Amino acid sequence: MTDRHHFEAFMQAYQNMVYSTALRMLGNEADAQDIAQEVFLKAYGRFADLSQSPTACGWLRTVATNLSLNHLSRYRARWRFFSEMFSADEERDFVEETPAPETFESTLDTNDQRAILDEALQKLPASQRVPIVLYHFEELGYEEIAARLGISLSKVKTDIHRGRAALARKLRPRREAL
Amino acid sequence: MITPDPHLEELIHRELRQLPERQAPATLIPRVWAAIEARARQWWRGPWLTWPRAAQFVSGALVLAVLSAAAYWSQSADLDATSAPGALLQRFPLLGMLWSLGSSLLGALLVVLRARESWVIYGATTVFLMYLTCIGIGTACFRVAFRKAGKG
Repeated sequence: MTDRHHFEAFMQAYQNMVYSTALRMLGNEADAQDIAQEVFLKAYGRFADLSQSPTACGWLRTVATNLSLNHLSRYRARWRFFSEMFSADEERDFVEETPAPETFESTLDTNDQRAILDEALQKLPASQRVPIVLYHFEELGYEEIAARLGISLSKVKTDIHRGRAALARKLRPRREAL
Repeated sequence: MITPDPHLEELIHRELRQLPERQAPATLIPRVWAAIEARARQWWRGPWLTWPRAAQFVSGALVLAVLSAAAYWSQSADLDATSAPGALLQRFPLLGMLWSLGSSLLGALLVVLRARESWVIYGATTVFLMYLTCIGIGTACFRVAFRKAGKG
């Protein structure tokens, strides 16, 4: 097998993971494809090391996350501004709207419902989606997310809570219909 | 500050982690190959350190030769029009203008360095310090402004 075939097989093996990571961070398919391409270009540059490495998957994931964050940071001032347009009153109202956990305790059991959740995640504003993805998929702590995004700890917690509640609201009607 | 709801957190975590990976578009791999091939064709656009060895050697030798030639000819007051470099500069007026400007600046710098007048040294130091101060103040303002925006 030539290097080209090796790298082709490598991309085949990891393309979905890299693309999904970027897509969840960015919420945009075209941008996610650009980032995935950039990740594989970097991987190609150090394929001699990566092809033998048991941590190749983790490396690709980290690079995809970092490149996505870099991409988002170009637009950060904009999404930060819109995120912070929410006033304290709205925040209070939002908490009151949050459904009681008991009402959505069952789990999703169909692919359709997962697709709905995936779509809902993508549609969240970046200020909520990015910390949620970093917390639930990349398993970073609140402090680490605050440091990575350059925002306050309280804002991270608020944004994540808002995002979770928005996702829960998407799930609830489906469950009630079951 | 909102206190995270552990119940909600657990539920969303469980549901999100069950989401399958999204299928990458079929165009992704061909795009990557196309980009790799384009980069391979345009190696000179990348950093010099990533150039092919032969290209690094040739370009390094060329730069050294140009600098040596410039240093040698800048010692003579004017280039003779009958000499090869002089003829070249006459043939390309823009190149001649650049040569004239570069040699004037180099000459001025050499005069200043040879003179070693204390006021020149003090002046240059002052300008340099003012430049550093501008960068420092600008950086501090930028960081303060963005940190406040982030915590706001």
